[in-house]
Amino acid sequence: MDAVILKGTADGFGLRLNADAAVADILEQLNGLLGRLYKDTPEGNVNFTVETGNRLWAKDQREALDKVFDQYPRFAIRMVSSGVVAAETVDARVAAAKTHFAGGIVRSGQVLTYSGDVVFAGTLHPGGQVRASGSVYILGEALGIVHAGFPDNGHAVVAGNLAKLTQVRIADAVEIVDPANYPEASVCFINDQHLLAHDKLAALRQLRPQIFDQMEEG
Amino acid sequence: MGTALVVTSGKGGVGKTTTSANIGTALALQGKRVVLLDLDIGLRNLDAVLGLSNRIIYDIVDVANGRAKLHQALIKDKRFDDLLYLLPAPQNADKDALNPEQVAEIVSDLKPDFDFIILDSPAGIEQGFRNAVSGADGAIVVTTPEISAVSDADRVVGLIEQKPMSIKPHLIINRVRAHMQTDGTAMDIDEITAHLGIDLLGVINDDDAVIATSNKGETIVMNPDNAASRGYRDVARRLLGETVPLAKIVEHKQGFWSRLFHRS
Repeated sequence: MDAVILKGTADGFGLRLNADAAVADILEQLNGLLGRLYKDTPEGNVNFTVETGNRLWAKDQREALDKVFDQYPRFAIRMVSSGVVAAETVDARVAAAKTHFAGGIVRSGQVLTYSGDVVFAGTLHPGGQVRASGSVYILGEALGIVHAGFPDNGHAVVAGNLAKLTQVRIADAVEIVDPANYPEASVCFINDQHLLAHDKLAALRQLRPQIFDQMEEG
Repeated sequence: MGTALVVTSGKGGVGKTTTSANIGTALALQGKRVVLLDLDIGLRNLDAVLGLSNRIIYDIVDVANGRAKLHQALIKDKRFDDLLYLLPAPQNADKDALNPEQVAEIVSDLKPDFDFIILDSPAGIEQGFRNAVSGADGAIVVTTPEISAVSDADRVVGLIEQKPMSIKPHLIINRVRAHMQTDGTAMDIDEITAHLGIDLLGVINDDDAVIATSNKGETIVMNPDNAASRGYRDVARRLLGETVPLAKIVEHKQGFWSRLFHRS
């Protein structure tokens, strides 16, 4: 059985690396295969899609793969795709897709950090912070800092009673809250000019329809 | 076995040392055996408030490092028979001279002999605070009705809650001025208590006599007629499990004739 199989696909060449073969064998066969191909095609750049099957290539193995390609300057790897994902990557993705429920008291100096969306049903004291990679929905009394979309998700929103907050932050944008400016139920978001803006909570449906679609699917 | 309570606040100058001394004295007046530990290394003053400065020979760092036995360093307050003791802080040591394990060990050595071990924490949330908190079964958080003190108290309660003690933290609101409560210029007592979300142990009137007595090396609790003294006595009774209603914050009103003849 071959350790490396060359395939022609609609968008170029694909290399399937046999997940059951030894990495050393794969690299050796790949070197031979690419050498022959390089001679057969005297000119033109070729990009390969590399499929690793049910195997995760470790960093040093990946570097060895790159080294093989380095010998053939006109050949390059477009992307490496794998049929499997590391458990911690999956855990992080699942956590990020989840809606978390947070409660209790967040006191001055404390920072609650979540990956994903957060429904905050507690008390956030001045000087405390609730931080999430997704959106933050406030049910409780919040007087501190709420940071949604940490560190760089500009689609996140902060919704609920925001009037008492010290600051609202979304991704890299910060607003110092002027209580006179916020209605009881409002939503804060990043607008087209990459500025923090806020509107009545009911406007969320139009501002971020994908949040609601997600709810209906789930 | 005794109960170890740390008196802490985060912010300085809110009355931690005064509170420690007065609660200790009030508990001794109730017949309990009490030892006060001064953990403000380098800036000791619990001894001064109790009028025991001249009797210090060994201190808590000497005990921790084995230079003195615990009973050698303990100073007995002779006004209270065999009930009130002080373990003083050194004046010429760094705050890192003590670590939390050493404090915890001293506290556990004291527990069999005393009903209450009161640890007077230094201001701040660094080493000195960690030392004071490490040996305690519960915390008394002192604040004043000011935004800065309440904010620091909030921070301190957060730190205490990270490593829960067997007794939940309790709050004392110190230096409450009646006229500022009635005209709404100071933070409201109920508001502070609700905001911090911990149980209220007592409210202490702001009273000139507190400063006057501590300058004489006495505690206000020894004067039964004073409003601040009553506040501390009530705190002690609550610590002993009695249900004592909150005393009204009284304003010291000057009479018409006294105003007429004692103008300042």
